[in-house]
Amino acid sequence: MNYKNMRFGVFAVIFSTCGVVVLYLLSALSNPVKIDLKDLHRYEGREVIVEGRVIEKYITKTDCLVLRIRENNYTATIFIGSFSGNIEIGDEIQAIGKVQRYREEYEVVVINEKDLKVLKHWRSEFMRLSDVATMPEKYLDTNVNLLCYIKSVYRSENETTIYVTDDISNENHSLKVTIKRDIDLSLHRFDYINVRGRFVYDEYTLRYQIVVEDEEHSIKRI
Amino acid sequence: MIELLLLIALAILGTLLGCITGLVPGLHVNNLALILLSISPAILLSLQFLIDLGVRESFILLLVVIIILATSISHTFVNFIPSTFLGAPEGETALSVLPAHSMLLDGKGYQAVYLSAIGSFSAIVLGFTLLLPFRFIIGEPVGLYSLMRDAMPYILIAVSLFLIFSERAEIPYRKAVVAKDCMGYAPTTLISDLKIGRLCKVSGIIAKVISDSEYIIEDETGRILVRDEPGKIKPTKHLSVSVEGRVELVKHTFSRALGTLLAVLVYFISGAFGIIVFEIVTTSPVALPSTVLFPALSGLFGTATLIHSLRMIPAIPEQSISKPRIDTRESLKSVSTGSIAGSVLGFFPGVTASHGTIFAMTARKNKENEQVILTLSSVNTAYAFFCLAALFIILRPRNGATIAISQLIVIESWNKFFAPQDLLYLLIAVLIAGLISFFMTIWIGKWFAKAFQIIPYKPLIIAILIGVTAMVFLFCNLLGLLILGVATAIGLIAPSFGVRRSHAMGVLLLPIILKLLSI
Repeated sequence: MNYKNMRFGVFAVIFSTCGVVVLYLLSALSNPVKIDLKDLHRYEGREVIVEGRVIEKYITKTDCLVLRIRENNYTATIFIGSFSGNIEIGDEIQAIGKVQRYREEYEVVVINEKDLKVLKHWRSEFMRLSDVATMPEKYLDTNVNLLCYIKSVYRSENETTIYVTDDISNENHSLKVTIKRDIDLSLHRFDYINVRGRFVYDEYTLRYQIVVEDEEHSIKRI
Repeated sequence: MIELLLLIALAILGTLLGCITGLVPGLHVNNLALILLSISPAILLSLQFLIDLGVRESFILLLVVIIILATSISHTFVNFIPSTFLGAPEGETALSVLPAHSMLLDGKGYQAVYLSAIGSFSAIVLGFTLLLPFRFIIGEPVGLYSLMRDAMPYILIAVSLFLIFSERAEIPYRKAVVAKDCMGYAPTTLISDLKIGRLCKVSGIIAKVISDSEYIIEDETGRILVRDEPGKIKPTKHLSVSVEGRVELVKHTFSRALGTLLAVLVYFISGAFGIIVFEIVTTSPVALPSTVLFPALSGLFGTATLIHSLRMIPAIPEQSISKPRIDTRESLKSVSTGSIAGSVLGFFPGVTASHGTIFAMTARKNKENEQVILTLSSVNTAYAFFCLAALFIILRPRNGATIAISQLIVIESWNKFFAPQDLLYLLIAVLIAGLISFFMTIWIGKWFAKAFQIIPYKPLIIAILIGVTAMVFLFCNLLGLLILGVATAIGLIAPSFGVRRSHAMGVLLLPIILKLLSI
């Protein structure tokens, strides 16, 4: 090592320190900061980035899209004037917008359509019962895309109920799936299937279950 | 059968791709994985025709993963070649560059590459033998990872402290006149006017005697250390002397402390940089997937290394093409130490192969060039191998390739005796990639040894720098370029002072530690 190198190193230290300060100022002043939903109230009036899984979706009378998202047991409302993309319940989304207070609740108002994007589509996120079992609250009230085996099938006039498991030989987890819509498929014990449905908590039986009832829900044999 | 054939074909394709990317000096394997992840939809689209041949859609995704994995494995083999011949090491290979360069300067560059290929391939073979024991130790029934999870921030703090305090660089900081016969041409200079690098003649009285050849003299303007030729005079206090020589910075007993301080500086500047940039969201001007990791890691370990190597191009002698002679027993020890270090660290967040090299070199006492290269090459490949194992055992991605894999396929936990089918497929791909990379590395190394003197080194490095900058702009826009610039400056601190560049991994370690401690 020579003196020239060390002098270069000193310049590098000075430049990098200044650079880090500039980046800090940039991130603090201009860039929206990425925050947890629990901290939303601290950022009223500021532009923020939030991420979460969609648990509720509806269109207002004025054609605005309202999404309810959840992240680590905290929820928030996302409001956008118009949105031409496709967001479904269960999708993981990112929204960049201003925090505003509306009816005693904080919400993120997204101005530009490009500031609302799907990070992970629930249809492309295949999971197993063990994934859901480790963090059921993460998926509660959202659509899930499950790969599983049929353990048993029960049919009634209005609906079909199946019990599914990860592994036929070693039943670690078992979950009820209630099928409330017509599916063009005959289901048999030990079939390996893909269930797309809503993961809900049944207060009557005190159990989690998947309900297949909406248009985007389906059951396919693999 | 068709699935197995496709697996082999795409593993070979990925390996050949890795042989090309591995030759790009300064292209970090994590960046490579992120680039491959971003173009994975295009790869997937190009493989759609396989559905007509009866291949499952989920298997096509696995094929994309196989390309990424084989590319990453092959990259860890081949990137030793530019590190050796072009002097542009990755963060991971930085430590091994000194022995490799030393061999290169002795005309043994090919032997260095050959040894590195042996080290890397041995790590894969050892990886397969260690895989099952690790599965039962890290996962159930021993469950070491579960036991360590709560203590993880403290383990990472301990790792950081070890890395910083094991810094061995001695930083020269004290000016001295190093005696040299200038035949009376050196200008007479007052001590206060001495400038580093200049020839001078100073006169004064000896104020303190340090040894037979070192003493401090003083005149009316100040004091200076003199490093005289041994036995030229017998220094005694108050003796009036006149010395001719060059003013240099010399190593001193406290200089190692300065090395440690610089390590702390690099670690914390990188850490602060990491904390800030991970809060920043970049967007691509052409709608490509954007991540701040790309400019941050490219700057710290890619462009910084390239710029540093541009500044010092040594004259290299003609290379001999002969196989190295090595002590089999010592080599086995080196490869085992490296593989174990790489495999253990594959399970920790924010800890990379560069840290593994430091642990391995601390454990390994044999510092012969050949043994050091074997140890460090095996760390790199073992780390890549066990990051894959960690993904299936503890379901956590630990490097760029496994992040890409976890985003493309459903990871089935390996909690039984037999590995999940996807992992078995991926292990076959690793074996194929390792075997082909071994021969390709030796073959390309031989070609490099014969032809590297005609490679236009400077234009090549400049072209790569321009290429990386353009890619950062395409993926992360102008903000990405700013991040790249700052990261490059931080990445240049360590090599300029001669401390290890792995301290810059504070960029990941510090934010992870703070997050785990919920600060």
